[in-house]
Amino acid sequence: MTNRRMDAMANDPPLLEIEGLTIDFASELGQVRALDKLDLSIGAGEIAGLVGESGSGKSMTALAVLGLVPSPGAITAGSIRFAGRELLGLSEREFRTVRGREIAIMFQEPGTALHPLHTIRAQIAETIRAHEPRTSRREAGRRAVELLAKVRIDAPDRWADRFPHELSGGMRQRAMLAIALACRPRLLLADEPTTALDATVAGEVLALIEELRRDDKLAVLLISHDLSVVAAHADRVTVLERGRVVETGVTSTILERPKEAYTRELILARPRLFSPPTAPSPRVERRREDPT
Amino acid sequence: MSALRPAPSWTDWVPGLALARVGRRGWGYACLVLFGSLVALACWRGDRVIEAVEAITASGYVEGRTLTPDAALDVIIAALVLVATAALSFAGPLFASRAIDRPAETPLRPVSRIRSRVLANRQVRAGGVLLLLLYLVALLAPLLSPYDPILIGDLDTARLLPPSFEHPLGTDRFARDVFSRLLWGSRVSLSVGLLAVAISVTLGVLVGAFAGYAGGFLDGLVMRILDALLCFPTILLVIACVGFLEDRSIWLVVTVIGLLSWMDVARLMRGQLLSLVQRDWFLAARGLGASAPRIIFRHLLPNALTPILVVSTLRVGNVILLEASLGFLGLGITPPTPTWGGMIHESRGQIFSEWWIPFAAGLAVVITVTAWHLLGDGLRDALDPRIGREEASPQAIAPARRATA
Amino acid sequence: MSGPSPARRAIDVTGPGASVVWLVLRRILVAIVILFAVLTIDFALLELAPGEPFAGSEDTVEEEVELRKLYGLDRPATERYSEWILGIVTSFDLGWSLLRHEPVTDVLADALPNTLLLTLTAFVLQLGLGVAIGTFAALRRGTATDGAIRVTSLALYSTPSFYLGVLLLYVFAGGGFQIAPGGGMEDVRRGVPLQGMDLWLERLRHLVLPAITLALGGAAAWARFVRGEVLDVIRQDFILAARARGIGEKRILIRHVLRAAFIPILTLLGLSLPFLVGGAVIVESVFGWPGLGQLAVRSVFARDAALFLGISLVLATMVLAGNLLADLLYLAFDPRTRRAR
Repeated sequence: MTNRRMDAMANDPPLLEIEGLTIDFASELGQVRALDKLDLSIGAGEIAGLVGESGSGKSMTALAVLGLVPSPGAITAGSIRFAGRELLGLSEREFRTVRGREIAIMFQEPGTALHPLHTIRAQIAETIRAHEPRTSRREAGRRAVELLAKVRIDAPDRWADRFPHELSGGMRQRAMLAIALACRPRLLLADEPTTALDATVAGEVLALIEELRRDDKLAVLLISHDLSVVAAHADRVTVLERGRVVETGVTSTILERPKEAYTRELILARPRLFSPPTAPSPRVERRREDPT
Repeated sequence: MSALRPAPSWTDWVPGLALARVGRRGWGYACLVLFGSLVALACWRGDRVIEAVEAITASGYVEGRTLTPDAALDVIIAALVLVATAALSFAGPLFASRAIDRPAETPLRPVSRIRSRVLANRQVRAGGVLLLLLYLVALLAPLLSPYDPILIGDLDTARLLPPSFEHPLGTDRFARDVFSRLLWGSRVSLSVGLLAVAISVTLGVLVGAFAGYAGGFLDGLVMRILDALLCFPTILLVIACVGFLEDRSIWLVVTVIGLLSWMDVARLMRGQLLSLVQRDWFLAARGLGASAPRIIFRHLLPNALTPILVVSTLRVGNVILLEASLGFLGLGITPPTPTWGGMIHESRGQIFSEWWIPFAAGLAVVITVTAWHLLGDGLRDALDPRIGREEASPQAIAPARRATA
Repeated sequence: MSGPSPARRAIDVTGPGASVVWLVLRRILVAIVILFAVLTIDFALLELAPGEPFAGSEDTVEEEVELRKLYGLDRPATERYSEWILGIVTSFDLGWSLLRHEPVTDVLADALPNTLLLTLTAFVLQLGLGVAIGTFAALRRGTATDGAIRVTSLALYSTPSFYLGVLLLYVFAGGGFQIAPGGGMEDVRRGVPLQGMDLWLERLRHLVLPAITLALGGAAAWARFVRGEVLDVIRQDFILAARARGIGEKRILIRHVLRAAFIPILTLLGLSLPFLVGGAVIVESVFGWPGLGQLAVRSVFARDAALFLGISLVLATMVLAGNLLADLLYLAFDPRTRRAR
């Protein structure tokens, strides 16, 4: 495990490379393109942001990396390379070695993404034992508690044996993060990690992610519709609109000098405390000229 | 369906062909066949109808008359049903084709959407058509059955005859034609099903609404009684009521079954009421000043009735099974009224020799109950808000294979 | 609330201090009250129904009246009722059976084990078959196999159990194959009564057809229900999340999908018991299985009210006990019912 990380750091090629990813859905209205030629790359210890409204294809990207695109959808073009290894075309069995172990995902709604009838400890331990089968149950349980401590849950040994419905929203999200980190993945796909949380808790979760990036060189794909979240934490940002990449670049550049009108809209959509928007909303004009 | 349709022509006046013209060929030809069969039946049985009319209108004893006034009335009603159905199968396609010719102009209201979804469901259509046919056969039984189902025949020569041209299903122990008894038995089963469920649903809705609305102690009391009755197999309760009697008329059986199976519906209704009352819009309506009964009738009830409708339809099937089981045990409607269960009960001794009697009677039950269950299933699928269930993506079941460009 | 929500009647958990023992006691108390109500209702029903025991059984009317006096049937209803209830409460005495000329309790003690054997066997069969087939169909949703299973289970569900029994009898015991015995629980032609293992084997041979008949209808119903529930569970986020963690399909099916579908199955378990018992009444009559069901029917024909009431009591108790068990299992298996946040 450590050797791989050192290699990755030494050579510094991107950990995740998505090129020209295209996902189509077959529906009654014909083929719907959910994602159109997405290019994205993340290196170790980097946080890449993926921003867009709902329906822009952000979550689909995360699912595609893990090979879980729901039918009637299918990846029709492009390539996804993780640590140099092409992920598209992998068999189910091979994918299972990647899922949870090398690449982990955090879902938006921790209330529904955790199994309601298994304890937190059991769910973490299950992940550990799925990828490291020789771990004893006791050992896995111990590591589960360690992970809960790592994600800053107080009295982790008490909470480990609780059920998801007994935890608050923020704790559930942290538990989900703990499950995701169980096998020390190199890439974390965070799908709207803060949307279901209130501001304070969201901030804590994001701070946690920052820590992980700093200490373990965890690469993170931060998916959100909230530009402020991405702006505060991502190194690079890709803006999606209805499946198409509208803009991509270093965060600070995009925020200061957005090239596309859509990006500008997103920025303006952030609620401001003091200053009103300086320019009239470009949305109205744009709708008139853009018929698509 | 957007292809050019031929213009209305004289063929529209041939029953059913109007539908064929606008593209609904299956339905059209089915109507044609139906109309044709009805006409054939009328010709074949016309004499009996005339007999019946004479029996009703004539007074005093007439030599050689074979129809009692009751039986004559049955025949006349059946004749009326035949005429009505024939008229429907003639006029229906005409009107339907006219409606299809005119394109839909107004946007569909939610009710129409639901209705079209229900009608489009394959199970609803299959079950519905089957039920219509079964009920039609039951209503026309006085005309369709070749022999009297109750009259005991010639015990010396005609007992337990095998199937033949004169007796399509042979004769039973009392030299009665099995086929006729089967037809008349359908009247019993089909009407018991509908009537008993009507009673139990009405009762259940009232009790359930009352319990849900009253709340508190009354609600708890009703629920306890309900639990007490529910832990009893219905068949035992019914047996307790009717089994000890000598004379079990069809009305008795219907009423008893109806009065003893309201529990499920009551619980459902109460649950619906309670859950709907907690919804935000209900509180908002109250806040706006609407009175509770008004809300209940105009808003709650329509919402609550959909699952009740589904449950009722499925229940009819169970009631028919219950009545047949009663008949099988010998505790159903007293002979000689033919019932399917009773027919199997009577022929138990001959099961290894004249096996076609119980076989046919039981098959009739299976077909009827299946039709009701089909209808119920289809209604449930069409009306259930959990529409995602049947459209659950196979990916959810097993991860999708990747399509390579 | 996450996951599939069971629609069930409320178990009142009276707050964080409720212990399981107290809950069980409360349920038993309620059950006793319910049984009491059931008995009263039953008694009232039988009283209201016209029809006299011994009617037409003796040659003269005077003899009939004598017989009735002998059995104490000429006393007013309220007297008989209170005496009967007292008998039950104080000494489990359920009266005297006119049909068998022995105490009702003895008659019941003879027949109860047989009914239990049949019912429990059928229960296990139908649940096992139903869950297996329902899950199987759900996993193959949309395929021809799924369609075939749905059609078959609909047909089976719509078949009266007596018809199914008669058909099976005909095929396997009479006309066709002669594999299974024609009825009863033991072969009466045998002169010497069997002992030990032989006895059990003989019982088993006779158990096969009735148990299958009783089980098939219920299995079809369970299969339909389980299929729907499994489909509901499979759509849930936590299943996708489990896959995303790299957990194997088999494990997901058993420990995640079925585990979650288990809860709604439990809620339906209690409700299915009356149907099982009711079906036993019919199946026992078809196959001549000497259990409580067949006895109930015969007691009706003989106007043996005491026996019929006794049977009702026992059957109702069985259903209540099953319900209690199901409720306990539900409490044990669904953590969401236990501690309120």
